[in-house]
Amino acid sequence: MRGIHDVGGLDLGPVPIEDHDHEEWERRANALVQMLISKSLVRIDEARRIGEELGPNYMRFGYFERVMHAVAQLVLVHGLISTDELARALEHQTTLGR
Amino acid sequence: MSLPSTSEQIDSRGYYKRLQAAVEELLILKGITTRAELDEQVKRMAVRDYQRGAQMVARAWVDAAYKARMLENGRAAAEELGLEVGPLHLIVVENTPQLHNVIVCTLCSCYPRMLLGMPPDWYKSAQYRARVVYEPRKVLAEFGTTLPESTQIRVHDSSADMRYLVLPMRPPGTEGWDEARLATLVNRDCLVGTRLPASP
Repeated sequence: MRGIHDVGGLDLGPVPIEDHDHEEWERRANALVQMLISKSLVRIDEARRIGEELGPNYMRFGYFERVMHAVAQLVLVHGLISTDELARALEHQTTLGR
Repeated sequence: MSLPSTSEQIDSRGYYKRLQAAVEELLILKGITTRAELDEQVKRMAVRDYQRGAQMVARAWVDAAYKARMLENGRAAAEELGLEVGPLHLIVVENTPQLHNVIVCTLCSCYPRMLLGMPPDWYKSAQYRARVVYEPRKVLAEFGTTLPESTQIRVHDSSADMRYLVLPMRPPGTEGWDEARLATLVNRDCLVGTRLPASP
C-alpha cells in the first residue's frame, strides 16, 4: 500500500516555487531533532515514520510542525519525559503568552 | 495526554512553537541537553549554505584532478576543502552536453544540507517530489530551465544515507577566470539541477 508520504509518480500539479526564512522555533526544532539523533536517543527513520502516520493530515502540516510532532511523540514513547510533564510545560508556555 | 494529529485539533499555528519550547525546556531540565548545546547546533546549521557547494564546483572547474576525485568520492573531496559532510555517502553527478542531472527526495526531504544548508520549501513540496521523477523536463520548465531535446535528463532519488550534488557545466566565456570569480556564477538551484549557473 502506498503511504501518504510516498508521492513519487503522482500528478499533483505545478510546483510551488517558494521558500521562507525559517522562524527561530523552526531552527530550534531542527536543532532538537539533530541533537537527539546525534545522541542515538531518536533514529531519523522513526522520526519520519511518526510524521507519515499523520495519514491524510500529513500535507496539511508544515514541515517543522511534522518534525516537532515527531520529536514530542518520540521523547514520550522513549520515556525521556512523561505526558504529565509535557502537559504542564505546554500549559506553562501558554501562560507565558507564547 | 495525546498529541493532536489533525489540524482541526490545533487551535492556533502557535501550538508547535509552544511544543518546541516545552520539549526543549524539559530536555534541558532532565540534563539530556543544554541551552548552549542547542544554540551551537543552530549556529552550525546557519553557517552552512550553498557557498560550500559552489566552492567545490569552482574548484572542479579549474582542477581536473580534483574533479576526478570529487566524482570518485564526494565526501573526501568536500573534506579536502575543509568542509564537513558527516557519515553519509555523497555522490556527485556531472552534467555534460548529453546528460543533465536533477536531485529529489520523493519520500521526504533528504538533501545535501551539509553543503547547501536547509532545503528550500519547494524541494520538500509534494508537487516537486511527485512529478520531477516522471516529467522532469516539464518541471524544469516551471523553473524557467529549458534544455535541448537531445539532452537526457537523469533524476536521482536521495535517501537518509545517500545524498547527491550536481556538478553543473562550466559556463562558456569564462576562460581564464579564477575559482573565486567562477564561484559567483554558481547558484543553489544549479547544484540541485533545477536551474543552470549564471552566464558571465
